[in-house]
Amino acid sequence: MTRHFFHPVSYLIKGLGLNYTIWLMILLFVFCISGHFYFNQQSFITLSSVFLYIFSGVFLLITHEIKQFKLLLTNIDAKDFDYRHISDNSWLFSSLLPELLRIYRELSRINTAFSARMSEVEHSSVQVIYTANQVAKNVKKQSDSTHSTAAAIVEMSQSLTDVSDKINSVHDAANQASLVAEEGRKDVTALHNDISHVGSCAKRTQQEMILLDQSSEIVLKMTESIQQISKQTNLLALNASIEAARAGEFGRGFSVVAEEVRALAEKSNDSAINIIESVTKVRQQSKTIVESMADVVTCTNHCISQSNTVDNALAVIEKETFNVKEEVKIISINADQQKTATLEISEHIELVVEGARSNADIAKQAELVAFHLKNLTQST
Amino acid sequence: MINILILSLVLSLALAVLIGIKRQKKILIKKQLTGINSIIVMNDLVKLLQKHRGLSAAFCSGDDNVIRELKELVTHISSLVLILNKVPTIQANDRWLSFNDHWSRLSQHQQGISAEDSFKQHTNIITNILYLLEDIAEYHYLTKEHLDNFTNIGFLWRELLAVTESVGQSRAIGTRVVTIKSCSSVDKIKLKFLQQHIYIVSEEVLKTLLNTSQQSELAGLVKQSLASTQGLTTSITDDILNVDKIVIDRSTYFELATHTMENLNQVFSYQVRQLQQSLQT
Repeated sequence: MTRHFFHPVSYLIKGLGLNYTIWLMILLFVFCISGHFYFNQQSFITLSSVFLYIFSGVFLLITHEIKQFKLLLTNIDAKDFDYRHISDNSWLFSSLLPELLRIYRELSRINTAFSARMSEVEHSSVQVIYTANQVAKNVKKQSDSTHSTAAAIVEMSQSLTDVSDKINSVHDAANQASLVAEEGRKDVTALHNDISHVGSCAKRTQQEMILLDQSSEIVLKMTESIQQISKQTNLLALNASIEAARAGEFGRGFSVVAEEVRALAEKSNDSAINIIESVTKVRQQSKTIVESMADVVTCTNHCISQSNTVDNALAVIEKETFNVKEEVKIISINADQQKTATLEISEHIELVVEGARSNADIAKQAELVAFHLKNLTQST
Repeated sequence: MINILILSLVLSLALAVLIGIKRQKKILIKKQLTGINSIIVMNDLVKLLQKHRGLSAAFCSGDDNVIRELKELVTHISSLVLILNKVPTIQANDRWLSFNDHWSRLSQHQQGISAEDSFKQHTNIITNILYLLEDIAEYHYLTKEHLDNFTNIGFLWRELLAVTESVGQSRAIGTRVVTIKSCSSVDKIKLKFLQQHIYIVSEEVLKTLLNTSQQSELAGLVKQSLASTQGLTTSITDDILNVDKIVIDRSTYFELATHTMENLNQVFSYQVRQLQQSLQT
């Protein structure tokens, strides 16, 4: 009601502006004061009434404007930050309000930029959650994989232990084979010596048999001589018998002797024939023996040659067995080293598994932190 | 005699008030029209800066074919800067002085900066101009308190231009992403943020404009903009963010984003034209 009553004053202020209105009031006041001396009472009262009306109006309107402005400031939503919701047709604060709005607008921009940044932080935290989740999954896979690898390496280590044991057995066997080969070689050498001895004995026997054959031949010749002698003796005995017969009685005794000599010559001849037959048989047998001895010598030589080959082969076997032994020894050392290395790898992989588990926990923690970050940004 | 004097004084006062109010109204309209003219030039400047941002990104990535086009753009921007430099309310403005300083350096030193830095600096410079545009609108009383028929005019100077800029940024980032067919975590974060901003602001602003628009032409433009922003946000989500392998064609995405920007700019231009006509009549 009061405001409606002072509407003209309000228009006056809007039309002239507050400064001109105040100047007008001062002018009216001076008129009123000075008019007291030269205005009539009615005019004075009218002018004073106009002055009082304008003064009261201005006063009330200023009071109202201040109240409105206070209300405006009270109603500002600090969370909203939208300056466009602040509207006021105030004439008293017309120069102040744009400046206030400008500051509020700048604040709203800062708030918008801050909100945008918070929104980006929220999206970033979502992305971090996703990434951490992926990392956790990958680390879990890595951990599982490394765990499997560690188990495989442990198995490999055990397998290598078995291999090492087997290699040791092989090494022992090679060692044994080397010893056996060495013994064999010694035996072959002894055999070689024996065969050589047999060979020399056979040769000697062969020589002696040749000598025997020669002696038999001599005996045979001597027997033939005896046979010749016995034939001649027989002939002599026959001649003697004939001469004895011619001598008659005187020759009887001589004929007996001649007969005895002839009988002896025949017996000698028979013995010579027997000797010749025996010697011939002996010679034939000795010839066979010589031939057999030659075969024995040949065989012995062949045996010596074979035993040399066997000896060489055994020497090669011994050498190769020695090499195998040495190689197996090296392999055994390598297997031991590999076993140690795989054990070390296994231990290291166990450490990697532990690290991966730790990483998975860290990634999980990062995920939780990111969730927390997201919640924080959402709550703001 | 005295009474006549008092009466004539009161009448003179009433006449002075009437003339004063009319004069104020005239000054206000003149100021508003000046503001609109400045805003039109500034909006053109923003469009050119957005284009310059895209070409600079291509240049910083090693495409030398854009040099000629960049030079033409710099010339065009300089002509707009000259126009705005003559506007008293703008030439002394801190934001404008800051723009002049920044632009003089950015337009000269494109070779020394990375694509990412170039994008960041262009975005900052565009944001600065958009804030300046809003300040100018406010300074020239282009607000709903002074424009009874344009209750949503505030959306025009802030949200509509901001959402257009977000579409511009998503065009720049998205085009790069679909060209290399790979979206890094940081690009995902930026695109998610932009997609959300475009979605929320366009839903709020464009739907409000649609519900309050009395002209069928404006309603049609707003509907087109709404459909294209929805298409763009869906494309960002379905073709870039939520896929293991990006298959969308570069030109398809670029055209979609450009079409969205054009639609939003059409809404802005239409509203500004309507405002201009309203003030001139």
